Amino acid sequence: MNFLSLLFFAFFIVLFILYYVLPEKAQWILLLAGSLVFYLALSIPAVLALALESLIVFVAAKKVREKKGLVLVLSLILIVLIIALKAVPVKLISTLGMSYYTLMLIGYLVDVYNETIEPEKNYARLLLFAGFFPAISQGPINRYEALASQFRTGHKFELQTIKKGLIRFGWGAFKKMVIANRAAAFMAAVGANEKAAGSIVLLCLILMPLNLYADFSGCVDMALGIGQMLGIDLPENFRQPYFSRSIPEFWRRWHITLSSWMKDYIYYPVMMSKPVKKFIKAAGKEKKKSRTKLASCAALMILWIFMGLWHGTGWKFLFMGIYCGIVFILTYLLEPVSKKFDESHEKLTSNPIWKFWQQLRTAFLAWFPTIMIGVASFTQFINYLGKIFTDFRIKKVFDGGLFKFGLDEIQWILLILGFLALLVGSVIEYNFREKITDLVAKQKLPIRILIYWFVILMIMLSLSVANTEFVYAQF
Amino acid sequence: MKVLKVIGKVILILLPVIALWVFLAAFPMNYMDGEYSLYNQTKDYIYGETDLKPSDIIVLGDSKAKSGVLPSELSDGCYNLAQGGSTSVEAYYTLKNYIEHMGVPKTVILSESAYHFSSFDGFWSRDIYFGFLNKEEAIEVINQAKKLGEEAFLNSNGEKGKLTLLEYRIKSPTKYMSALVNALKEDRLTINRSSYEDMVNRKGFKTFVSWWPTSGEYDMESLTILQTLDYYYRKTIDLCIENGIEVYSLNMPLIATTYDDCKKIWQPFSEYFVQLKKDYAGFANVHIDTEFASYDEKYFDDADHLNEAGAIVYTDSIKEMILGEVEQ
Repeated sequence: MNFLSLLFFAFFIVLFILYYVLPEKAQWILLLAGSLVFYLALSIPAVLALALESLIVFVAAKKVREKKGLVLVLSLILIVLIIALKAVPVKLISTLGMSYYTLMLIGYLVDVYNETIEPEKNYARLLLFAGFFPAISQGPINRYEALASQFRTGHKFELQTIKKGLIRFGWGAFKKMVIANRAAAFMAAVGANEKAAGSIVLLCLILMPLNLYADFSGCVDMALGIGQMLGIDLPENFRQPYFSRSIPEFWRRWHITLSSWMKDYIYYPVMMSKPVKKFIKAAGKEKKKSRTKLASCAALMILWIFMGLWHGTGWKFLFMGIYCGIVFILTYLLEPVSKKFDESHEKLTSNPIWKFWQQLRTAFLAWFPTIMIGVASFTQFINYLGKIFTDFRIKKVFDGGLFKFGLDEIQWILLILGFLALLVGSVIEYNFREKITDLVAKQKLPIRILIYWFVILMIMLSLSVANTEFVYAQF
Repeated sequence: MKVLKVIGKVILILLPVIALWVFLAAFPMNYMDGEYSLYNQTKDYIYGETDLKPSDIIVLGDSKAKSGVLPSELSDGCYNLAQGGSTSVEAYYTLKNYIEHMGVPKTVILSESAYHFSSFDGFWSRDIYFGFLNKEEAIEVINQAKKLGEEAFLNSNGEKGKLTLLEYRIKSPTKYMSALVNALKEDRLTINRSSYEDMVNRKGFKTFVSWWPTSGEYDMESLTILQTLDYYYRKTIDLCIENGIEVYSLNMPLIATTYDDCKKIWQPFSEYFVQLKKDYAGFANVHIDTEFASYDEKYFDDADHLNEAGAIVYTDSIKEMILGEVEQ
């Protein structure tokens, strides 16, 4: 069920009314029922897979402390088997956030194993944690304690919170409908036309990160907004990633919950594993530092290859993982040099132009992974590069040729307007360190009304563009 | 008071939505594409909402019929009610509503091409989108297609079922915003008005120039006649029988350049009409043409549609047969 479908609106209105009419103790049961209905709209096997995976983890969590690693390993193998089974006969399931709840359940199990949380005693509550409907399609990836604790308490009808949630949802819809859908229409048209000039293809590659960011962060905004309307806070997943000044910072601002999941459940376990500890310990005092660095690089590479392959099988995702790993490792290794440079050139590095250069450089380095998600295959990427270097024809952008690729003049104007609004919003968020939606909610009524009208009108005018599936819903 | 204040604010915030929605519902001529005025004029006429007099002879069918029969060439009392992209579904409801509001015509010329026996074509994109069929009629068609196991053929581009129908009925922006955005590029009100007036002046006649290079029959791989469309074709003939109307089921000429290449389609299509003729053999007022003529390409605007010269030649060729029967 797409957040932007009439069916979802009907579903949510009914759920919302019942949620605040029911006694607070029963709210979580309604959320569970609603989440299951949300899946049922996709398919029965999807619900069964979620229930089965949750059941395995529920049982495993009870035993994991007694039998230690054995149960953990066995249950992880079982989950992987379910994923493999799901991916083959019911392709649809793999398109609906299977990866997200699987990661959440694995995180829960590992936390129970590490004794950082207590195992859940009620299977239905664990099922709700895994399948809470706003987060199922594109995350954010929730941590058990943070989410489950909110299901244990009741939520009163609070107009201000609901209003904020609604604004957040609207802002997400704006990003998706005004920007992402238009960019997607252009990208699809370029992809379908073998005769597209290199200049058009380059523009398409430039739009890919914008499309991905607007699509993904838009969906997460909607998920967070829905949660907020139900009194449930979900973790932030984006913090103006394109203002990052280094690649590590970029990944701390982009898909935050996935990055932190990878760090906690892949990077640290690898670094804390017995063989790695042994490897570091075996070295003398002099070599200890370099061995730690070496182990850290290896762990980073494992993390990034896993991250790449989590997005999907295929060469493009493997390349994406390796590329990110190399960039990240190089940044990590060069950190002392960079630090030294910053200290010795304080005047230069505190200059806004220098900061802007760093942001531009980071955006450029982060470009490749977003392209890998945007292109249909690695072959298509190579074809695109071939066109850019051999058949550029810049005049095609200006002689009206551009308007033959899915968007006419008006749609381009609306896309640019949408992008400018997003840019202004992001600049404000970056400088004020507060969500734009919360800032808008604080404004005086006339200003608020004008902003709402702009957003609403832009969304309405975007109904003229086909609504595409959320990009990250396929992972 | 607090509740009223909240409601007031909500209305204020939603003002652009309300204004746009009202515009979409109240001023379709201002933003709909050019074909809307053709459907709208036909609808206005058959519902008796114009000053035009009822006609003795009416033409029902698809765009080939619309560009093939020239009312001014046939008779003063002729009106062409055929519609581009329409099938026997629209033909039936056009006749039914015409009889209800304008009275019983003496003669009906009915013509659908092979393509419009194998596809519902404009059911969603025109009939429902333009509001040509009313709710009851649309539901009747959906149910009939469902009954005959052909619902999948009726659905197109994800358009299906009663919820989608409701979206169109309430003029939801989800369905009409595209037209509104496109209307920003051209003065659609002027285009639609002129097209509407042209329809009135030419009694529903219109020529078409399509953008595809070959005819519909040429592009079809084989002929599959949908049961629902056969059902409505026969229902239209039955309605004529019930009301004592002379009905002529005619086949519009095919372009000579691809005539032989289209045999795989028009030959079995011809057999369909042979069977239809047998089925209605007992009814003197039912005339079913089983042949397919071919015309030189100079009589065509494109591979499917006759031009005005072609329409004159064709209309003249059927004039004697039709007027002769009317006079009897």
